[in-house]
Amino acid sequence: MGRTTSAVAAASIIGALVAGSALAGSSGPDPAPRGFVVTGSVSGLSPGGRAWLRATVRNPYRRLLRVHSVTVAVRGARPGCSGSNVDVRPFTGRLLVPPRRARVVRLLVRMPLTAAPECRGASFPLAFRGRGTLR
Amino acid sequence: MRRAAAIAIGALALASPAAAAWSAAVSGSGGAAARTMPAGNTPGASAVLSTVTVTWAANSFPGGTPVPGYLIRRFNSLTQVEGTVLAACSGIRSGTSCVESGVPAGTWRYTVTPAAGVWRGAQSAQSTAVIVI
Repeated sequence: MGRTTSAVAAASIIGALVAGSALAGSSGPDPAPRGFVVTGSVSGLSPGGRAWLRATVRNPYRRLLRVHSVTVAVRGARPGCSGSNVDVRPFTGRLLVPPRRARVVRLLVRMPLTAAPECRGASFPLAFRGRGTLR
Repeated sequence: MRRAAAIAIGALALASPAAAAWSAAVSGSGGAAARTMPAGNTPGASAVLSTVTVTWAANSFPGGTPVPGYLIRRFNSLTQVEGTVLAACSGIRSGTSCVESGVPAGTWRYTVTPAAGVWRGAQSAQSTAVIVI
């Protein structure tokens, strides 16, 4: 009968932020953010199906983080199973993450009905991108 | 006192200088897990003259979501040659039974294969033989 699927895969992003020349336009040195973390996971994908990817945005700073967008690039899982077999809708809008807190955004994940048979039981690597503002 | 600082996550263009932007080269890994396909459940079959009713138990993906469809196949019980399944049982069936009318005379066995899009599970074992007159 059916085999047990790999339950949860997690996506993690650690951004090492670098204060650059763009600071030249500011009135003084800002504490340079050292990094932040976004984690998310999704499982249970099948042809024609939908699932939610819960991406947790953690704000390690003492200021309010306003997230404007989060997008995910899906990479191929194995030969014959490219990243085009999964579609992740981006988050756009405004997500406010209080200082030193975390918030979750839900991204709609869809697998087309034409998903390749090679994708059965596959695990797709994800790469996150996004944009936010510290206030 | 209050200044806005833009944070770019990923390889993004810098904001305007007035926004006091930071850029970031981001790396990370993770994944999205796809389901596996279950194997079909052995069907039952019964015949009245040339009409055969095939029934089978539903399959679910790991996690409990029902499989959306099934593929029915018919084999000659003696030669194992596959016959052409007739309209009411052909193609991808969304239910758990079908009635095949006008089946050629002979002894037949049926199998069920779960289907989702172009994904296929393992074919079930063959049903007990039914005799069509």
